Amino acid sequence: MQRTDIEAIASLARLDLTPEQLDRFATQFEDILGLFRALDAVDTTDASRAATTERHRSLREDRVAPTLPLGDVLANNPASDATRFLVPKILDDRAS
Amino acid sequence: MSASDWEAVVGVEVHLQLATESKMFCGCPVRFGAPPNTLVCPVCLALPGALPVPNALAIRHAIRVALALGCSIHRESRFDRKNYFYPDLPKGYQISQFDRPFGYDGALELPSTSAFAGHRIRIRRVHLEEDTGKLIHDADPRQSVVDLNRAGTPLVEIVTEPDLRDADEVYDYLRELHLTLSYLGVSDCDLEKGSMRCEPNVSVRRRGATELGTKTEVKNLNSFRHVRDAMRYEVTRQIELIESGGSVVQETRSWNPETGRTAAMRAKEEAHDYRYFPEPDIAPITTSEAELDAIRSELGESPAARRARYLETLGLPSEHADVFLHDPAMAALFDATVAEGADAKAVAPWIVGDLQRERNERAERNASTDVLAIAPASLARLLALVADGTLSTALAREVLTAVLDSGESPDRIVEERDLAQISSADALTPAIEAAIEANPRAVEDIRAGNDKAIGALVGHVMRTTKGKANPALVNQSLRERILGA
Repeated sequence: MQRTDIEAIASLARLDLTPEQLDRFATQFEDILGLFRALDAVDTTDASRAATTERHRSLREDRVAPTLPLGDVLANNPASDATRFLVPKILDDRAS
Repeated sequence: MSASDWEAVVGVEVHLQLATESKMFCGCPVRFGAPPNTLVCPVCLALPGALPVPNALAIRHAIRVALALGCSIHRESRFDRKNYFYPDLPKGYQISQFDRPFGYDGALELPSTSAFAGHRIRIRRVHLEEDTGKLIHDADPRQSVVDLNRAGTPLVEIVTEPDLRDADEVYDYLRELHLTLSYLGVSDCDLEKGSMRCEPNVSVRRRGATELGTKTEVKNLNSFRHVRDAMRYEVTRQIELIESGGSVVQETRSWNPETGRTAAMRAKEEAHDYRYFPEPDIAPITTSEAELDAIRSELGESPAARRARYLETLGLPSEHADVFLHDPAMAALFDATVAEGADAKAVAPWIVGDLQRERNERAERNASTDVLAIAPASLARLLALVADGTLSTALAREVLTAVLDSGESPDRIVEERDLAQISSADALTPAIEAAIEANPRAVEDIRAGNDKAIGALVGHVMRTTKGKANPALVNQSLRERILGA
């Protein structure tokens, strides 16, 4: 794991990391990935990825359920007008 | 180099809002135009601990779309998280699908009525995802406002391969796609309401080149005509840019229908990296063969199959076939009338012409009669009465109006109003004699070889029979009587 990888991930996560933190995370990430490599080494040819979850497959029928009162919806919000959330102005630039 | 040295390469993404009662992963109602932030709950607000549970109907709808587009179906499909930050996306990620979409490798063929007839536009994938909330920018100069009612609404995304080469081809593809989707009953397919959104990816390359050029994605297109115009503009812009020594930047551009131009949306600071990973809160969705068969059996006739049946099997002219393809109620009446034994080519103009006229007239005077609710057997009978000479076309129109007004059968109306056409020579004899007696001059003219003079005599007979005489028979009887032929 390069320091630049950590910088890129931190930037995508909107995290501002100090140089010391970058170094520490790079080491920690490397340790975590090491654990996953160990898991990857296990032979899972016969195990379905869904094997552990299949029994819990649950869908809901298309039925309407109660919604939250507007006061509750906006309760924890730092900025709102009477009915809507307010955010700093940005223009839509997403790819999809 | 001229424009003809270049080739446009276009793929299209279409987002279709599904017609469900509730959202994709929670029970909030899906409704257009509700007061802001009244259709939300802990799941679509992304409150801590809230868990998504997929809507079974939305999944069936997505599979239905995939099957209608000839896709293969992943028997084990999966939801993934697409990570990015934006204020209309409360969770900080969108639940979408990455490498196991419901449908893949399909195709849509452009219809025989298109200039690009027979072109197969390959469908790369059909996947299910949730919509974002709505950001409104023009309310305040410094702030945007967010309404999360739409957040979590089920969307199907339909992505083509870059198989399209021409703006008109894109237009025809979208029209055929819209028709195909509208037959499925999975969405209202309303472009103005944003239920169907189209985003073309446009690039250009020198003719004969095999590598793809850098593409731009165009947004803010709420009609197929805008898509066509935007693509034309974008292709010209890219060609001019490259020819003048520049290069195309991969970016999202917004169409401005007033200026007829596209403009770059805010430049990206970094390439998008969505860090997709499997959604851990939702188990993979397995679909059994039995479930697939059930969905397949509900698909019904596709527009392509219906078009082929009308044009090729029944031999309808394309203008009639086209009306039926786009008007399911008319098509249903047409099919049912043909099933009653009526001749297809004879029925079509009565529905497209006469019934449509009755429909318009009634709409104008706010009459509530649904003219398409006419019993198919009545319509078939009316046509049979025309075919066997009982009714002239003009009288049949009168009977049709009466059938629609009264709900009585055509036979009953013909009998009540004594409208049956006089088609026996014997029954016509008195009227023929009277016409000859009253028009000695015309009779002389006919004997002298002036064939046109017979018009006056025919008119006389039609008047005395109140229009019930069979005109062809009147003509023939008069000639026999005057010329002895």
